[in-house]
Amino acid sequence: MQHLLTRSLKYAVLIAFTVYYIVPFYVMFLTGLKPLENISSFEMWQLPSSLDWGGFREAWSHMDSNFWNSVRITIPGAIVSTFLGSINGYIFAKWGFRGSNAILFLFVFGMFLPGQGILIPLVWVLQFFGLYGKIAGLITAYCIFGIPITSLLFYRYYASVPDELVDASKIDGCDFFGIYRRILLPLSGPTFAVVGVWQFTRIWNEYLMALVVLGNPARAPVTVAIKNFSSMGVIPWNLQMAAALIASVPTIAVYLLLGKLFMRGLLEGSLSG
Amino acid sequence: MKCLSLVCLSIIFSLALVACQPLATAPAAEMPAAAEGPTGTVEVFSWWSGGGELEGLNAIIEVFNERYPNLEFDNAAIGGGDGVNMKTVLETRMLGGEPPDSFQVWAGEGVVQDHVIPGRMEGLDFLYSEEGLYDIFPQSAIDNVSYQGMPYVVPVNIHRQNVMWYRTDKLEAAGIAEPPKTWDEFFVVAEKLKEAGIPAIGGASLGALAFHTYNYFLNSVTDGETYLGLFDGSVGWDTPEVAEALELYKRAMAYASDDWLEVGWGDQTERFVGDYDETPAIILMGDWFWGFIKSEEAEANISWADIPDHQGKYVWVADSFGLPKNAPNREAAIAWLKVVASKAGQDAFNPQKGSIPVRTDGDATLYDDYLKESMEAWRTLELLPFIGGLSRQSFVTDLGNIVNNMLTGHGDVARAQEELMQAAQDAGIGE
Amino acid sequence: MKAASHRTTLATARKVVGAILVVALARWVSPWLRNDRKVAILALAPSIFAVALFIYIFIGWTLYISVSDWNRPVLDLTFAGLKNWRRLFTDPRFHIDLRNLVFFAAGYMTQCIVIGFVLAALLNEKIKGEAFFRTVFLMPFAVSAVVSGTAWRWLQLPSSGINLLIAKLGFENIRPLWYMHPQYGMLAITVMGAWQFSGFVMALYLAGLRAIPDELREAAIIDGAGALALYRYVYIPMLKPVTFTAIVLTGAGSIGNFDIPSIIGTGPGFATDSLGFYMFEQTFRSSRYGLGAAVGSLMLFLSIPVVLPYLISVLREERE
Repeated sequence: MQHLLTRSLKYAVLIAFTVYYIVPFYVMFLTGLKPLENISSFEMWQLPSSLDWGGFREAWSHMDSNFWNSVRITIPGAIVSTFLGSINGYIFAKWGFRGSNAILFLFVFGMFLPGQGILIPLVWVLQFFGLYGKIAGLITAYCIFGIPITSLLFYRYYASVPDELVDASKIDGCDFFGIYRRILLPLSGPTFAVVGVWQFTRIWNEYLMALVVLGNPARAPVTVAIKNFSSMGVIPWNLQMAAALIASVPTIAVYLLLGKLFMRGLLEGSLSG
Repeated sequence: MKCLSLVCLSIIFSLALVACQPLATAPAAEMPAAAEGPTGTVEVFSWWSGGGELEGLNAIIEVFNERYPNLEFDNAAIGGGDGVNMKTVLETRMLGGEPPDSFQVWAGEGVVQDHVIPGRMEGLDFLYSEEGLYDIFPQSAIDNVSYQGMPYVVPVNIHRQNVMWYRTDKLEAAGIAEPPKTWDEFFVVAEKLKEAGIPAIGGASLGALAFHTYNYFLNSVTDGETYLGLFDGSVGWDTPEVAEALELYKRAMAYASDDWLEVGWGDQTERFVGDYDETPAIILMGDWFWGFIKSEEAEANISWADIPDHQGKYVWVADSFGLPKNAPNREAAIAWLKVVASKAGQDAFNPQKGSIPVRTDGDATLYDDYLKESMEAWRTLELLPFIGGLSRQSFVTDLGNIVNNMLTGHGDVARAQEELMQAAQDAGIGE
Repeated sequence: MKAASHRTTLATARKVVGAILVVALARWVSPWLRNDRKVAILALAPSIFAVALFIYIFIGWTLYISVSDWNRPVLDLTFAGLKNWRRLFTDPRFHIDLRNLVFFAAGYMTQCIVIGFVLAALLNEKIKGEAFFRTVFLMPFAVSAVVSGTAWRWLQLPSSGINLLIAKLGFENIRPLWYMHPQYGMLAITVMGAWQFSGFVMALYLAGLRAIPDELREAAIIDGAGALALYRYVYIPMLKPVTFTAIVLTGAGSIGNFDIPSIIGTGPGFATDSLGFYMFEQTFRSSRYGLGAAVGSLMLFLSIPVVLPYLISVLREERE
């Protein structure tokens, strides 16, 4: 009896939190479905009188180019920075040289730096390389500021791969890249998932640098576009909610598809330490 | 030693990697434009993305496209009242040395301090002469956009900033025949409205935009000379009028709806055109509000009058466009400025935007009653630029924040005045 | 004209640097490629250079700007001593922002860690539909803080959203002002932040719990430990590294708090202002680059005590 009680209590708590996590999505969806003139703050929870996808369509027409910008920024950014991290982690773990630990230390130190501390020089240096205001410039910045975390995660994972494996393949005549390709790469699927998903969402969701580096609303990614919805004189709540939901689709899809791999990577301890 | 050369090598190697990219793209960027007429795109920054203003911008873009079919208009509009968001993005672009071809800015001391003196703008004497603008723009407007005799921006419109909008039905409901002409009258009226359960005045936590509202109160307690003196340094910010205006603002807000601190300005304007318990009887706002009222079809119960104690004053705002040095497509930018200055451009833009043309030869038949009245007022009243046209952006922002912080936070007038004095000193007013 | 010549100089400089590098690459680097260890170092070199420039040199640069006189649109790097820092420390808005940082960190870290831990502990109890719950809890982590701020801004509107529900339940007198509260508005912001991040902390804890060997649990149960004792003496101590990671992540997130305030605005009496937003406004709205750089540097300094223990723990692990 008591067992049943605690058990239902557990489910009750879990369901309560499910509601807490879902409600903002629900409200975004609901508000996006209403035409603007039906939106009043006093009737927020009322269901729309009819299904009207016009809000979503209109929001999309305002943000489609930003959405594709985000795709153009995020996919190369996530792929390049993940591979960069994988190579770096491999070197730190298996080709340590004098001072490599210190370098790793200095890398990791940059992991949690607030972007505000480097914004002004970032603009200058990107300008010097002709990358300011360009998507390539933003990707470069994301890849570089992603080095600390991606390198650390891969380092931790590769360090757990026995050195004997590497030594054996050296004897077999494998060189630097051969060892990476034949031994480590095939082993690192879950880590790639964790790091790739992590970088994908971080880049897709980033706001501050995108705002500063791509100073044109047409070139900006979705995060900047959502903010721009909110700054029209009267806030078109329905469009903004629809836009916010549309902007979340790719990252949520990635979680639904790769969530299991991501969790497995976490379970293998690559992020939690 | 070996270690050192290693470090050098790695730096060289990585530099090479990074340097390859611009090497490949640099020549393309320096391609000369085709010889005949401007081609390519013209990137124009503005903060016109909402109701009324968007229609106005589209109307002038249409004129532009007709006149320059070879040019593509890149409409880089970033919304946000008074360009709060656009200005930050513009500043990053300036920092990155990549200005847009042209950008929206208020005419006046602000553009001089923030863009002309720093050497960011090209003088437009050639354009003013070519297009005959010296004869067709009123002298006061030319003076306002010039620094050391050289005009730097082209104003496209004039907005009146100091208008009192009121709900005739709400005043009637409280048995009030006439809108108040002085603040003393206002407080009598406000008491009556309070008894009838109607908020007398609209208010909101405005952030930096509180400078607009403060502007109204400041002009109620100063004469034109003192007001201008505060910004050219001949009158100090320690003058009692500054505190008087703050007091007045605070006192008036006691008659706003109980929840005024919790709502945004957008909610207030919605309330004003709708019919809610919290609908205020009076709202102080520039005449860009008129476009909104019309788009909501709420003209029936709404009328306008001078702000209390503002009789005979026309506080104005002029949206303008300039030509930044380094503009990627200078010819196209000049083409845009020509359209901005043209009769066709201004008469297409302004009736939609709800403002009056700067050109004295605007076609009055295109404008509605309110705007006709505004044109008349612009010719006859004492003209005073609003705060945003009188000082650099940083001071406008500081002023708004200080006033808003006093109203919504600490409530201490003396402290706010002290902070204003400090901000004025920091802005170099009177230097 | 001056600007145009500046551009060509830049382009020429880039070309010259590029040419030298290509030659250097061909002459000095190619012999190296025969030694694997040297290849490894070469492969790491771009990252070393990038981190050195984009992190360390940039930090130094920002620090220098913070002691320069550059507080107008015109670039002015004359040394001005601690002028900007003095100004920063006397700015009332900065004091409010520090208070807000404390509020935010307290609310955000507590919510993330408590919610994360409780949910992970519950999910570890052989729950039916665990995968479903896990996916739902982790979903907000996939979305941007900008999205979170947008949705919650609507939900926390004092005249609407949650307050309507509260009123419907009959508690009409309870009407929190949420982010519009002139003192505690920041605590409402923590709800938005924690909604977005607590699911991830849950995932971390769950991973940590799954890593605890079953024997330990069984041994404790055999010793007669109840559920609470099990948590107190076995799980919580074993999960210390996870808690540590969560503290570092949420702590760093608190210092960098920017996205949500920039959606919500600074609020009445700067109640929802943050250091990050203050820096952004001073730098790019008011062209006070020196002051902005001082705020940016201060944020860097603040993040050191958060990051350093993390670094030390990473290093310690390495030695083992």
